[in-house]
Amino acid sequence: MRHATRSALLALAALVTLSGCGIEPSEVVEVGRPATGVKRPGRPATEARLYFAYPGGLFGVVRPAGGEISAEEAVPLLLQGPNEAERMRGLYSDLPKIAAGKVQVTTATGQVAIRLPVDPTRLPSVGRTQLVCTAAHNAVPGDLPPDEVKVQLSGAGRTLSDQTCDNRQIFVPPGSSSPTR
Amino acid sequence: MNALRTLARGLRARLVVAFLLVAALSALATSALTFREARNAILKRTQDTAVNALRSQVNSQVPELAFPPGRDDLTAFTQSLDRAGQPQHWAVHVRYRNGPLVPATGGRAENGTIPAGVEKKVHAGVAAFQRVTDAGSPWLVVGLPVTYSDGSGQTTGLEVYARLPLAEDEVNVRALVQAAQSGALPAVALAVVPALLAARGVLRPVRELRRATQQITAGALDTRLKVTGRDELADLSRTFNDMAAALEENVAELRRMEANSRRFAADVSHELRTPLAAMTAVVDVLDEGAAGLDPDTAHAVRLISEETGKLARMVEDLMEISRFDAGAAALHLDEVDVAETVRKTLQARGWQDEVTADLPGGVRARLDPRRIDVVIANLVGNALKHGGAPVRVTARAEPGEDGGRLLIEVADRGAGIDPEVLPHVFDRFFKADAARVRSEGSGLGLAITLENVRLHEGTVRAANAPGGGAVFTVDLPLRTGEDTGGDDT
Repeated sequence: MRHATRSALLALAALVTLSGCGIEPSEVVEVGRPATGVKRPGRPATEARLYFAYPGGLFGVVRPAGGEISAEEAVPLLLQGPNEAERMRGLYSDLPKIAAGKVQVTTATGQVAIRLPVDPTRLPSVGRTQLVCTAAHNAVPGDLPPDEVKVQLSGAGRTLSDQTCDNRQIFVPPGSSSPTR
Repeated sequence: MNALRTLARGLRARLVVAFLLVAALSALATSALTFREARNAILKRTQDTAVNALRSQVNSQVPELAFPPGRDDLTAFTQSLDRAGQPQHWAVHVRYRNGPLVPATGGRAENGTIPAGVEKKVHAGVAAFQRVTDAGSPWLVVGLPVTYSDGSGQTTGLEVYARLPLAEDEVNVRALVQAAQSGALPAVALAVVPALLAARGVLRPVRELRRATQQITAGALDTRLKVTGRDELADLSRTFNDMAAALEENVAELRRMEANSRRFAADVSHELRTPLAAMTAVVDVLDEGAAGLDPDTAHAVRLISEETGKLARMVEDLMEISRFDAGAAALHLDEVDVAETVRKTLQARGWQDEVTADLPGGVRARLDPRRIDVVIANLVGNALKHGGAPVRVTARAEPGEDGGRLLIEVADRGAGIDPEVLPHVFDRFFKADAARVRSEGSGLGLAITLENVRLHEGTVRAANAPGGGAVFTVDLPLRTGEDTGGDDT
């Protein structure tokens, strides 16, 4: 009889464990690295500035980099599209998929030439603006203000010359640092 | 109530309960372990996803934050993070250095507080999370410090906290509990089936064993069990069969020996009768002529005559007993007046003066007059010989369940019977007085009385009367209501 009582108690204990189980509060758990990305005030910018499409216009994002990023380096980054975090924010690229090796970017003082494997006039206007603004807002010889940098888009026998990035096209969220330099 | 308790203590109930307990325990243990693992996996996935998403969002958005940020900058930053965190439904709060949380916490559950433990960790530059319960529902609070991007790992003083509802996970966990329960309960219920089967397997041999034991008790010594299987119960059945076989053999041997000895006694007495008859005739002739012999020879002749007569009576008694033993004694029932029968017996023996008879008239019974004569003669003769006068015979009828009983009592006023020998007075050749080697009777008188009474399906008892003296009581069925046609045998 005592044996039966003991077994019943055991079963009851198991039942209680099973029924008393939702999501319980936990201790404080340490979880990996901190977030990062704040540039020290007063230091030169070591970041890539890329422009992605956003419902309603262009949106400039900043990607920290090891050193100064030139227009030649920035354009291939743009062509790779937004990363996971940027996609979560609702950003996308209005450019077709173009392999980075098929794009040639050359710079001169205040000028950037981008040679594409496709007809630049057939690109969506937002995609074109993405290319122009990304090229103008990264390092270009001559250190002109970005809206004065001239960008030439060419490909498939067609050429669009003297394109400039109009800052008014760019959506600037309140509280963010100025997209201009 | 009692039957219920017996049932509950029965093997079947105990087996079923044991099976159910084992099934319940194993089902519960399995469910509990599975549940724990699944719940931990669900929570881990949610937590990892939330922490990684928040970290990558902060990594992505914090470079756009003007530094050092003003209150409006921080508000815009949290709004932007909230928008990006729509899949997780998180609510972001940030703090710069020792400033206030932006937006402020408190108030509604979705806007609850940040646990102090998480804040402490984040202050120390360590990312951390904690599950808390707010207003009865579970929440996950993630805290991330933000460092400078130059790789130094130095904290900027900016702290990002996100509160995520775990309601969806809770729903999933509840579903798990449901699944565990709905899986465990049928398993426990199903355990009844093997339990009953096992109980039947155990109980069937036990039941058969009981039935066989009852049969053997009732006399069917050739009862054997069918042995199936090789378990302990089969062993028990086999042992039972061995026991039954040994018992049967022993009983048969005993019966054979008893029959042999009885047949021997019958044969001996029968063989003795013929020479004894011749001897009796010769001795009678000698006895008649004894008067003409010289006194010594005459005395010897009378002694021989007397002893021969005694021997002849003994042989007659032996043969009578043998007939009883052989089952050859027949009962010739006749309806008689009991008082008259008893009186005739006393008169035939010439005892009417020595014996007081208390015989109410009108008592009639169906019995074998010759055998009742023997019974009464033996009892009265015994009383006259061994007890003391006056000897008293009473007969009366008593109503009973099966048509009434006839009670005949023979009482004397002697010393009575030693209580130690009382159970043995009806044994054959039993002598109440061990010192008296020679007796006038055969030693079979009371034994023959007992057999005669038994033949009538009655009993005879010997006892000592409270006032002294022995009392023999013969108890016979009256049988007056029975069919008078035909003789019972």
